[in-house]
Amino acid sequence: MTPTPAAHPGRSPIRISPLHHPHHRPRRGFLYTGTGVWTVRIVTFVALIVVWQLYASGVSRALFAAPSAILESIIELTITEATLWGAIATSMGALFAGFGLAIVVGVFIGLLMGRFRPLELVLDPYVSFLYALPTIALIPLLVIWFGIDTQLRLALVFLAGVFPVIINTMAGVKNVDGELLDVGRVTCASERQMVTTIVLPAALPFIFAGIRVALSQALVGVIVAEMTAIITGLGGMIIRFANFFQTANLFVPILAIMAVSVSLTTLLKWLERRLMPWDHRHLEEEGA
Amino acid sequence: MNVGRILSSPLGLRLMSLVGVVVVWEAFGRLNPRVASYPSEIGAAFVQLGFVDDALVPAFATTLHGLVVGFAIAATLGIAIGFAMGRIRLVDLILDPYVSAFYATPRIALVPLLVLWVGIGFELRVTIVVLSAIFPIIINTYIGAKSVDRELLDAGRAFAANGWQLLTTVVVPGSIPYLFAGLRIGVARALVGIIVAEMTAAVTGTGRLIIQYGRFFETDKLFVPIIILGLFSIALAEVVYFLQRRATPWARVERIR
Amino acid sequence: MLDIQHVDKSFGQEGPPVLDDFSLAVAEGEFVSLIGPSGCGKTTLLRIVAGLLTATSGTVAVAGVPSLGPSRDKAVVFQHFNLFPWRTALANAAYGLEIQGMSRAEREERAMQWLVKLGLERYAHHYPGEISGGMRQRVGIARALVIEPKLLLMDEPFGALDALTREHLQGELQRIAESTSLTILFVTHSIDEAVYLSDRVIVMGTHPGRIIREFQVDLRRPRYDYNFRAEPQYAAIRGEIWSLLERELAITPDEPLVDATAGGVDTRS
Repeated sequence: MTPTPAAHPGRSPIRISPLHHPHHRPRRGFLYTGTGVWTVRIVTFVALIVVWQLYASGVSRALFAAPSAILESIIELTITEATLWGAIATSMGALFAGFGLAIVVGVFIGLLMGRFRPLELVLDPYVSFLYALPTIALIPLLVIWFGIDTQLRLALVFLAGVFPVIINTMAGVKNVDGELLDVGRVTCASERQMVTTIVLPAALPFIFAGIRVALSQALVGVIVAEMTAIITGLGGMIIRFANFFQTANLFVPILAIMAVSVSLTTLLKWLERRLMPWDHRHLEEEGA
Repeated sequence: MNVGRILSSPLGLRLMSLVGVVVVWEAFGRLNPRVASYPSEIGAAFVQLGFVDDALVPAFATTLHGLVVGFAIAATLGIAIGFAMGRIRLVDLILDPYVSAFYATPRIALVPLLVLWVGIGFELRVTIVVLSAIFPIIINTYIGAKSVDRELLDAGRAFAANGWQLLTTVVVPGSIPYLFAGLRIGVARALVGIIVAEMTAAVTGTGRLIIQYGRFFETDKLFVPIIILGLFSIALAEVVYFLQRRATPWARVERIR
Repeated sequence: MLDIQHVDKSFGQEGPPVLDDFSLAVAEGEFVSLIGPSGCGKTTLLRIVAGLLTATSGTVAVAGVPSLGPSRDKAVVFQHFNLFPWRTALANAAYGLEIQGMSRAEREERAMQWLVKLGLERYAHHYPGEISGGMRQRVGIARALVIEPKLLLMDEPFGALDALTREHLQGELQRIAESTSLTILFVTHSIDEAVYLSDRVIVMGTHPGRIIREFQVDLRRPRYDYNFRAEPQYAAIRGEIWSLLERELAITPDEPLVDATAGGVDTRS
């Protein structure tokens, strides 16, 4: 077998060490080559599909859809009827509006709480409580306040996303190296300059950690709101297909949600790497 | 006694703000009774539900039952799968794409499918709890198993430890902090999962109380399970922190939220 | 005791050779230091002897037996201590015996004896995170000596310590070396340390790693109870090694080598 250094393109939290470093151990074997990785992935995927197809052909179509039937549904919903795109657009519109608002407000409040101790003392119990509370439990209350309206969805997405951003921003701001702040002080920087040139960049890794958590919770918020209150978008699609036992169709919005979630998570990671080339913490992600 | 100093102390500030919030809320609620309930009413509702109607304890017990069973399954499976993925390359390659995809996806989207497959009983609640909690546990255990300090592995190998000894004396203890991070995230997600299940499909337990009081606009009663849930969620995280401190006496446990 | 024959090592198939035809014999009870600039392969060589790396070609034998991997007759002391943070000092020191399957009571008794010898009895139940760097490395030394190895391998063991602690531990190491018949292979960046501790100093050069010259150090032992630095032999050897290494550094000028005579700071690899 030929030694191939670090050909694995996937998630590897361990950095590749220089070739001549004495601690470097070349990883050997087929499973560490690009071909090996893709062989395993493709074989697994094909096997999964085949087993699924065989199993599904013996079960009621209302209970379980075969991959072939799901493929037909995908074609129907994306090309023939093309209703999926509208649903995605609806859900994403709400997601981005609520999520964007959550980031802006969350960073602002988190910054204030991190810089001014009295504010932290006053607000922290409520923020912690609302952060810990499963957001879905607030839906009936929001229905009473907003009615069954698109505002409800926006509010839910916002509430799902804002608290992780506040908490992580605050932690980041409080964690800024005191010696870096001293650099600002000796150059007589104003509070505003301190925040923009030192505090925010130093807190950025934490803020991004918060945004990552917020994204996953905001996604849940959109889908929950669409499934339980205002039947629209991808969540609404799921409910409609489920009510009519159109199981093959039901898989399509689910797969779409999966695809959207994975894409957005990947996009965020990419953005993080671009915006913080100096930080390598994203290599050792801790789950959200 | 210097009143000003007491009021500006951390506890004093918190108490003042709490009193302020309660007073403003009470005033606002009394002026707009159709919009929101207010603290005194919520307190009365708590007493009524908890001690007169005896609605809280049975509902909460139902929720706790599904939560505990589901979380126990998720923790056991999740840790085992996480270690297998972290140590066995083939398992990693096979499972990684699916674990990553499910991890990123809101599990609530799966609820209608699960209803088709397992019905709306206890099994549904447990299934949703498992699916909610297991992926953060898998991923964090996996990262822990992968990021064990190579120098410590060297130390173990230098003393001629075999593969199994390396696993038990270096890899497993080294990944405990990660494992607990996974359990902490997992338990929070498990709680969300059980409430989702109880509110959307199973209609039982604490979730049912929320749905029921919401439907009849009984905001005073509605606040009771909501407040209990929030406090319970905080308590769960504290329990995991406590267990982590007990399990890792050598480490300073940082509270990451 | 230790016989290294024609060892070559390169990383990866196309990598440049890190060690080229390296041979060295160390007698029983001898204290040999390897010194050279970063990248000269001294740590790689030590790891090969320890069995943590395999040589591309060549052989290593300990007490006449070919060494094919980690074994009970060798022990390693690491630069960054590599103590297990989740074990107390005592449990760390007992690690090697635990791996060998010794009962808890017996291994802890033996580990405790070494901790006492190294002045650590009060810290036996502390975790590494609770004790100073110097104490941590004492635990590292205890962990290595508890298994009663024939060969002790030390990879810049004092490189991460402050100057005073380092000097103190150098003295203790000499005492230990004298009270046992231990054979020691010692990697260091510091000329002063090498000359102070060793019977023989091997000066290595880079690209590829190889022996440039050997120095026999005949200074009277024990060396900790007189001012060995005042001896003319000390100054002569030190001066020669320094000029050799200076020439090596001229080829690879990116790595500063610090003269540690005054307890200066070592560069960490």
